[in-house]
Amino acid sequence: MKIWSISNQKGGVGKTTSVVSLGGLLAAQGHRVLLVDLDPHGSLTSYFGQDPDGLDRSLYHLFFEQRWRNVDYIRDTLKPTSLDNVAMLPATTSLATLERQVSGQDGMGLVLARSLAQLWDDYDYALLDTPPILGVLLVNALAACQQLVIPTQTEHLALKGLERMVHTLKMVMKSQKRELPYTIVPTLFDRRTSASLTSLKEMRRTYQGSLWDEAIPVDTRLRDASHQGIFPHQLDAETRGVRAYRHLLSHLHKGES
Amino acid sequence: MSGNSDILMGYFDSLLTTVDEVDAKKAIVSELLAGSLDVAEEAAPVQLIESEACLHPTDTIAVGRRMTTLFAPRQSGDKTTDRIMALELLRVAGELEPGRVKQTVLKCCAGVLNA
Repeated sequence: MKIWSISNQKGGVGKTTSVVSLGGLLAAQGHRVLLVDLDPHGSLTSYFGQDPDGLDRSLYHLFFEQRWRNVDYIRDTLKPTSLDNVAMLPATTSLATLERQVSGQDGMGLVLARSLAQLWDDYDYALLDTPPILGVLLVNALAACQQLVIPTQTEHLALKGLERMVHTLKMVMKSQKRELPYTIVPTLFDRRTSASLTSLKEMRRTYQGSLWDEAIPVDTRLRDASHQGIFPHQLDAETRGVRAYRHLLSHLHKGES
Repeated sequence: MSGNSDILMGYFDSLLTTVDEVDAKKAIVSELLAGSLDVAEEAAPVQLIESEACLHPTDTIAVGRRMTTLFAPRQSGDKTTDRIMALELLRVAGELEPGRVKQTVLKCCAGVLNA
C-alpha cells in the first residue's frame, strides 16, 4: 500500500477535492483505493452521503480499546463510495474530542499507521484527508504517509498556512528521524486575478523544487460532482479540473519511482 | 530552536513514541541497574547508604577530549524531555566502570523513566 497525505494547516484550500479527484483517477487506473477522513468536519464523509453525526463507527473508534489491532473491526468500519474499488474510512464529529481524550498517552500519533498496516494488502493506495489544525490527527497522517501533497490556494493568506505546514512537517520528520517527500500543489488558480498570479509567482520563488509546476484551476464541475456524491471524472472526464488532477497524478507517480 | 518549537517537538515526540519503546528502554535500565548492583555487592558487600546515592560536584566523565561534570537528570516538567535526557545519560552511563558514579546515574535514569 502507498499512503499519501493531502494536508495543509489552512482550510478551504482544496484538500477534500484533491483527495476525491486523485482517488477517483487512481481507481480509474485500476488501483484499489482507500480514502481516509481525518477531519472532524467530515467533509469527505459527507461527500459520499454518510452522516458524520450519525455513524456508529469511524476512525475515532480505532483510537480506543486497541481496535487498531482488529482487522475485522477496521474492515467493518469502512463505507462504500460511488466506485467499487474505492472504500472510505469515515470521520465522525467525535474526532473533535480526540485531542483531549488521548492527551498524555504515548504513541497516539501512530494509531492510523498501525490501522493501515492491518489493511496493507487490501488496497494499493490510501489517501488521507486531514483537518486544517495541528493536532493528534494531523500528526497521525504525517506519521503514516510516505508522501505528502500540500494543496495551497493561490492567494496571499494561504502562503502563511503553507509556511506553517512546511515548518510542522520538518519537525515531525526530525521527531521520526526520516525524510518525507512533499509536493506543493497550487489550487483554485484563476488566471484572471492578480492575487492568483502574484501568489503563484511568490510560491515559485520560495518553494522551487517542491512546487508542482502546474496549477489546479477553479472549476465549477468539481463542485457539481460533490453535489452528486460522485468522483469528478465520473461526471466529466475532460473538464479542465480533472485534466489538471490527471497531470498531477502523473507527476506524483514519477515521484514514487 | 525557539521555545515554541521546543514545545511542539515535545508534543510530536510524545505522540510518536510508543509505549512498547518506552517499556523496552525501561527494561534496559533495570538490567543495567541490576548488573551494576551485583558488581557493587561483589566488590564491596556493604549496605549502600543514602548519602552515596547522589552525584558530587567533582564527579566527571570523559566526553571525547573534554571532562564533563555529571548532573543527575533534572525534572523539566515535560515527560518526553525528561526521558530523552535520561536516555542520553544512560547511553553514557553504560560505558562507565562499575562503581558509585555509575550506580547513581543509573538510579537517577531509572527514577525518571519509571516516573
